[in-house]
Amino acid sequence: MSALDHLTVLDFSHLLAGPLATQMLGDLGADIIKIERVGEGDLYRRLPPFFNARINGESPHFLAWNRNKRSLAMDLKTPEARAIVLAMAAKADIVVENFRPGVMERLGLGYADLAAVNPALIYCSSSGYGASGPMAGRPGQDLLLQGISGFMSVTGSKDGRPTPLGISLADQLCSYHIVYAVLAALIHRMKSGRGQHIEVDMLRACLAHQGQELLFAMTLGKSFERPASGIAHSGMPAPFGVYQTSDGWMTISMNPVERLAELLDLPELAACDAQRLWDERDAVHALIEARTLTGPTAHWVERLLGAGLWAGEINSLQDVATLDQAEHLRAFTSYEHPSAGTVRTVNIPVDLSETPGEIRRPAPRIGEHSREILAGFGFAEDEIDAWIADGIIGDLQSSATEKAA
Amino acid sequence: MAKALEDVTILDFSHLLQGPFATQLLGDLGANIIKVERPGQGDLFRTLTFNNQWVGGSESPNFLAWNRNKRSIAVDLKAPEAKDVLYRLAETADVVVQNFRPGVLAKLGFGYEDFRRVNPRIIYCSGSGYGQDGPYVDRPGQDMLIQGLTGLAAATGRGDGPPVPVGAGFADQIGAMNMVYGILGSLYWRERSGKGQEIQVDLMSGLLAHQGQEMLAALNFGRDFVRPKSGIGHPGMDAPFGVYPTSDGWVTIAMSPFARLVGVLGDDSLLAYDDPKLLFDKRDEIWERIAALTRTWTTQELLEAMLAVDIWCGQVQTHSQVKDDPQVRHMGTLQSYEHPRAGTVQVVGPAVRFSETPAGIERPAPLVGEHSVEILREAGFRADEIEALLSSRAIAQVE
Repeated sequence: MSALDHLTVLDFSHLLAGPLATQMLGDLGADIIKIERVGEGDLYRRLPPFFNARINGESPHFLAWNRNKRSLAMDLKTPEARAIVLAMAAKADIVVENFRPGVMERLGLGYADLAAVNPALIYCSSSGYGASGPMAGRPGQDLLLQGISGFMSVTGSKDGRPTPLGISLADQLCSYHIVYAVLAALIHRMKSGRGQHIEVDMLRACLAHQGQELLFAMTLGKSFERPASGIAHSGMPAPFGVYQTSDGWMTISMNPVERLAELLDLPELAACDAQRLWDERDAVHALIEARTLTGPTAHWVERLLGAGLWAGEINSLQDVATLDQAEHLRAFTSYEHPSAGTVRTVNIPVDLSETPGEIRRPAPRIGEHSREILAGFGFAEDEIDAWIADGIIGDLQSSATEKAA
Repeated sequence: MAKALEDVTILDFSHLLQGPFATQLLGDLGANIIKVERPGQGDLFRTLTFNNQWVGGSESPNFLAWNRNKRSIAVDLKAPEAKDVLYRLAETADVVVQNFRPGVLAKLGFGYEDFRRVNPRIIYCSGSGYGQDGPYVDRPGQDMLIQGLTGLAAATGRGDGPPVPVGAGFADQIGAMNMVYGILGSLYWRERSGKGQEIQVDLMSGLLAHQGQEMLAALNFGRDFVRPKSGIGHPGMDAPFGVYPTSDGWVTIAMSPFARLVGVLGDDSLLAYDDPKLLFDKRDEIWERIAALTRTWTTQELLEAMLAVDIWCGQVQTHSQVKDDPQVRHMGTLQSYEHPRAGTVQVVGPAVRFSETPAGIERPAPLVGEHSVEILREAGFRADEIEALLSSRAIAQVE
């Protein structure tokens, strides 16, 4: 049993924000039809990957966000393709797209076009900054949004530069808002029979996830200042932060200072009241770190946790890959891919007792399922053959030819 | 206009950030959120703030940020009457949300099995730090600890500096989004199947899923990222991707054709680096060379020059600058609500625009037990029953 197993999603999205969202819908059973450009496919297939390394030619970025999808390769600029999409939209439940604003409309595939053939359709447009406004035409890339939305200004230390996060934060928050909105619209459609247009953007998603920081900054009229030390949030007092040990790093979170002081044998710390923990947070950090430097991480984490205090290790990704709790949660899994081989990947992070998520298929190759998908929508075989011959539709063969050329 | 979730009722036992943000997102779309709080003290987040400052002198900005569109009923969960009250509320509720430490709520008689007995259609969502069991089950599940444990802090910041956690409750917030994902998926399925279910979400699995592409690279290539020494913006990325100084601030430059960027900056000797291998291997050196040039521009001039040739770039803003940003204003993202004690509170509004079922802010964050009597009355409790519950202190209302 899957929660979404009779739903069909026409997925025009590329890169990260859209593809992660549709992967999450696919993990719960929806049929995700990934509509890709003939030959090249999703831009993420071609962007230079991490370490400049591929898995038997496949991009790790693309593999990470496109499991549980089938690929239909199509030249959207042809009138035939538009007619095909309209015919498919009449039978589909959901459309997701993250082109720059106006592109789908210019292709004759905007919400109004598709709602005309299917009023129950849920159509989600995702953009960097919204569909209109002074910044609507700007590139909506993750790093840029981390800077514009304020995230970067509160991360890192005072003397250093603004610090971006080592993952695509803005894209992923946007993904979640797509999923949130599409699922809510589905529930509404069940009762009302009506679809709707949903607009999500990375900018507002990033702001929504700084709800408490922005509420503070706006209502009290103050900006946060990054601490000079390893205090881990611009608005937090000591001891909340990152500390060096004799063999690495650890975190010490919100804790009653008297108890922390006793455990670390730091009477000066015990004397700090709330105001001082805030006003002199960098000095208090230095005081604690002088002590944590005298022993290894494992020693301190064990002692603090043993006393009921909040502390933990700072792991590298390789540490995490072998972490016993991650193994216990079955946080990692693998799937077989026809060209990449065995791909190790992160599992679905939500457990549903009756309708568990499932990885049913690997990330697709470009146009791998074009014939199967079109046949499923009732198109005739000779029609499909003609479209493939004209390059309107691509299959595995045409992708391979293009690559060779 | 209709609300997407207007006939969904949620019994919300959650506190701090993960659960409250999740139920607020559902409340923004019309769900009826009944926040079950401890009499007197209420949600622990009411007692926490930044910078030792309080909105209106008494209210926590953290609490105000995640609890609009909810009503509060104050119940002493250990009182013998609490079970009668909450089971009766659960008979007509759709969803229970909780993020106590594993096992705590079930021990008090409010686990999935308890509620399922009174309402087989109930959807019960538990959030935890590390799952409901396993070697870390007793560890504290606080946000920053999880950022450290899952590799995120170690992959953020500069090569010669300490690991850097992000300056927002990111693990909690991803946990919140996973709750929303699980709950809405389950509500949809229940409409077809008639069945409820149990959902388990944890912060650790959530943050691992959000490093999907980084973990996939780390798992399959068996190696870790090395953080750059410069302002390159991701440990796996090549130059120019990163943060650069200007004469009056900072700009970001994302994936962009290198030669086009060199054209704007006007130093052709940089073209010698225009090779995929060099752009990665010499990324710190290239960053220094580019930064020396960007320092001679103002942020505004440099942005205009780069955007004119479609280089992916943007400014780095503080929260105060975000408040005045013309695009943020255009989108109507920042809103305000009136709170009986805090006064006018400026907040971030819902981030999704629906054509048929708009999200909205209908009420401010509640006071502890502000709606206790109203909620019980709606659930069919008689006046004398309510009176008895108040006098036995099983239920409390606003003092």
